[in-house]
Amino acid sequence: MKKFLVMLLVLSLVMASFVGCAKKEEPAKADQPAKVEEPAKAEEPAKVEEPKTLKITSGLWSRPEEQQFIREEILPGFENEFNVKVELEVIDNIEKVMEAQKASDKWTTDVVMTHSGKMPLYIENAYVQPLNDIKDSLDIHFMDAFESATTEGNNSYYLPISADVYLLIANKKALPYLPEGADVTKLTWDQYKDWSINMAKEVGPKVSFPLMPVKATVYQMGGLGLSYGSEFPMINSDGMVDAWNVVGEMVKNNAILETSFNYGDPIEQMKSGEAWLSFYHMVPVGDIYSSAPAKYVVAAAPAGPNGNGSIAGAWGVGITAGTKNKEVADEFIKYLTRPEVLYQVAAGTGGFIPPVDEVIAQLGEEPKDVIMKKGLDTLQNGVVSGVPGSDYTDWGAVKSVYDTVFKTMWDNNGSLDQSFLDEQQKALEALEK
Amino acid sequence: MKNKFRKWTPYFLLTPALLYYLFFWIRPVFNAFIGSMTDFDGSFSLRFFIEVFKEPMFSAAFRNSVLFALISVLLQFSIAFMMALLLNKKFKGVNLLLFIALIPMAVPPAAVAILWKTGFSTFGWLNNILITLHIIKTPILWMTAQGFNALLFLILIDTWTVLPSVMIILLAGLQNLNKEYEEAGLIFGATKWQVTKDIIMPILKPTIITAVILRMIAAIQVWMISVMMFGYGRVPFLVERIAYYTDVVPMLDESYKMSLTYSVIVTVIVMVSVVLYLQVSKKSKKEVEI
Amino acid sequence: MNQKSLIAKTVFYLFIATMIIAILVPFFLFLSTSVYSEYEVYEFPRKFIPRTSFDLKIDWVDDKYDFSVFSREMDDYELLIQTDNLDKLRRFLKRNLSVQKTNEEINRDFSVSKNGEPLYLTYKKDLLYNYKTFFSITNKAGKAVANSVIAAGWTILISLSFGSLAGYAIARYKFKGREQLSLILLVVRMFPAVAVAIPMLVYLLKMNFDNTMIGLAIVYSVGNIALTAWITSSIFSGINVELEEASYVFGATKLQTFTKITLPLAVPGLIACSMYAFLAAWNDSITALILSNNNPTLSLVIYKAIGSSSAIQLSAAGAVILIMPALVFTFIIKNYINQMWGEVKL
Repeated sequence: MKKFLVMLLVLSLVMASFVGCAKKEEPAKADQPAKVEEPAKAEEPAKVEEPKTLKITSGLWSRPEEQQFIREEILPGFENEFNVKVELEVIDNIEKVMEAQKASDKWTTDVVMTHSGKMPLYIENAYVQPLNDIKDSLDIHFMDAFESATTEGNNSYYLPISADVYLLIANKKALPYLPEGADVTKLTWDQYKDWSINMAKEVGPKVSFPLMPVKATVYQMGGLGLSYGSEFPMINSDGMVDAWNVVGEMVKNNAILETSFNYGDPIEQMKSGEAWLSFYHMVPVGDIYSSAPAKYVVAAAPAGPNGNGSIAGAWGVGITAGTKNKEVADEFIKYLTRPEVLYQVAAGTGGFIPPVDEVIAQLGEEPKDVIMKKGLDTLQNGVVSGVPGSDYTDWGAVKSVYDTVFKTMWDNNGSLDQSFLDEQQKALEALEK
Repeated sequence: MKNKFRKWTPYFLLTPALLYYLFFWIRPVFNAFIGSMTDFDGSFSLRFFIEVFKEPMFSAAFRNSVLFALISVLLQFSIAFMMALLLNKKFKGVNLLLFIALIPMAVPPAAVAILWKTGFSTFGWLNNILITLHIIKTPILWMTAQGFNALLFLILIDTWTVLPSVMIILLAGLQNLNKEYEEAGLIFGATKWQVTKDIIMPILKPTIITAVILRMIAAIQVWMISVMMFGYGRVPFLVERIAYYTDVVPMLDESYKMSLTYSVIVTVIVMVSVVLYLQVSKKSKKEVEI
Repeated sequence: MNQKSLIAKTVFYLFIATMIIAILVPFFLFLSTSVYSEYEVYEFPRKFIPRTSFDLKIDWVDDKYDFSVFSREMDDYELLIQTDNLDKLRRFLKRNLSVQKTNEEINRDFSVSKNGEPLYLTYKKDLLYNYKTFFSITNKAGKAVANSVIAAGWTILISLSFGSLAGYAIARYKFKGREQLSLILLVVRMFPAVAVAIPMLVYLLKMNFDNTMIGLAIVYSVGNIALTAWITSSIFSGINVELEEASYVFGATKLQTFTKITLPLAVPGLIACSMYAFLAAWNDSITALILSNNNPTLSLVIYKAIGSSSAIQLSAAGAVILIMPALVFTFIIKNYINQMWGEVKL
């Protein structure tokens, strides 16, 4: 018992000394001694002079594997070449952090990675500064698709470094069930529907359509809607009604796995073999594909009368308005946009599309390259739309509307009536800013 | 002099805690109560309560929270009581057994979720075991449970997590029970069952009441396991709705107000349940004065 | 008589066995998951004991290595990847099979298949791969561990100090409102923590305590002070007043009595209270999510990892790390729990 009291006392003394470290004003110090050994990493470059620092706050690379890749295989190159110590922080609601830094004028973040849906907000709130000089100095060409999101007036605020679309992925076991004359690399949604129904009849439901609430139902249906000529987001337009009907047919014929309601992505269902077919965001698709490239086929989004529809997003790199390390930040952006580096980043993380012509030219036949090329196909030749998150008071609520419609359709065995759709459209419009 | 001082001492001792509560709990809760009854323009209004009652998921959330609390408490206490009775013997390894029983309590909610999600998924370990033991041929789709089945599902998982700690409370009460009462009963010819019913349980009553109240309060506020297993909205609970408004749709004008309103409703329900329960148990307590 | 006690004994042991199985099997499977390679997570039916190695078949076809792994489900080799790029093979082996090899080793081993015959070989799996990887991929996991320890420590300190003072007062003194106080302390638990967190965030921001461990501890302690007060009041009432009186007779002051006589006797109960305080702080992820998103505790890091990653085996590894201290703590405490709850009454 005495030992315990002593321990408690020591603990409190130790903590008292930590209080200084615990207050958030302190810049991030070297890692506290961990209970488990950390793998030996060369974080400190050979000290000749004091290394400069750079802090990146990113919404991209939220998956631990991606962060690992960036930290282990991308950042060291930059750190060694420029004698900089880079801190990478990946968090969800960066807007709050930006707002806090702006309000207190204490800019600890130098470089920020933002999703295209949020870029207008950042530009409007002056969280980032123009990058015209860097952009002009770079000898590469960025795809036009993201001009509108990354620029305001004559100023470029972001350089897009990765883009993503939705792709089709199929287990090779599904191929024998393709409808007559269908080419998996050039499917229409009708053929996709027939394919899924064929499988349902022979082996049971095999389509993964992740339906976990507030995740990606909106994007899957959005892409479908675009293929049929609808706008995004929209519930009751003619094109959208056609899209609902296609999926409704699949539901009616039991082609979609009911367990899809439990998942926010098709990874588990596809990898375990429970599902053989899915249309989903290219990052999870890339994850599934690279787990065993010989087992799967990846293709561009299926097409409707209007083309291959998909919701597309992009991530851009920008420099915060109040950074104290502008030169280092500049160097970092230049480094990141080097074609060989950008290719590595794209391939080594989820398999995003690098929206730079020079990088695209380098794509080969490796699994991730294959994913990237398919994505590119959709991006350049398909019907894509971004995510207009800033136009709505709460995007989560928008997602919920789509969830409600889908669930109702499921409960009604695949049918929806127009009045219900109109009602939900009103709910959607009520959310507009 | 000493006496005067003595009179004030308890208040001195209590002050730190009370001040702490005043500052860090009463203030925010008070603000929450006021906030739930204030309209956007600052005027008094009950419209958020009306909006909550009109919500499509409100009745499901209410029903689920109440049912969950009732069923889980009843279930857990019956099983825990039996377990405690059985474990109330001194035998080798009882402490080790106790430790094993405590394991679920040390597992954080997020980990419990992976544990059971990997278990109940179509190709998860539960189906794995059942198929290996040839009890079933094809995997059962546990996770497609809807409505009441889904509720039972969650109760099951909650029981796994919570049962050990309930059992321990009862066990501790039993072990502090004076053996003499039990023996006296047996000497006078009562059966083991009668001894349990008429002697042990009444003496244990205060402990049981305490534990039930703590469990009830926690059970009415369950939400995270539902969200982690099924996502938002599939098996709604009152506090799950609070999490929904705080986490999923935080930017709507009414989000904050709705979560405050739900919180107030939950608090009221909890208080009412506790008071009701105390009344009921006090009544039967009177019969039991030894 | 003998038959009855035999049946009773059987039932008894059956019950114990069921209990042990019900608790340990899921837990054990969880531990297994934390050691699975990515490939094994999706094998079905799985062996409960994780693989220690993989049987591979390498074929040199069309200028590429056909890389197959022996699949138990199919009872045959399953083709996974076709490439001639050593880097890709190395990464594939590492990420999907938890096998660590260098490019040279792969080259040396696989080239044998270029002779025309398929090559069969076995590679050992790195069982601790997930654990090693977890720390390198999660954002500052080491710091998160330290944060958890600090937050838990502060919670224990605050809860025990405020709480035991209050508990002592309730136990030793008769004062107005004493009866109701115990019940009032319960009230604190009746308000959903999720709802208190938002207003708390505002206070913490004002005090500059957001994203600090002491800020978290303040919120964790709210419920725990009440619990501690409640428990210690029973403990203290269990300690014979005569002991204290005797100490006064011998000339000790109130403080001396408290620290030298009362407190030591109460320590078992205090230890148990600190267990609850520790677990409350250590295991919480939701409050930390709201109040300290940018300076996370280990529990929050794992909560996020589970949410954003499909790699359950990595999350499981992290979760096991999270559970360990709690288990150790609980193991140490188990002997004192009986004493704590024995006297608690309303």
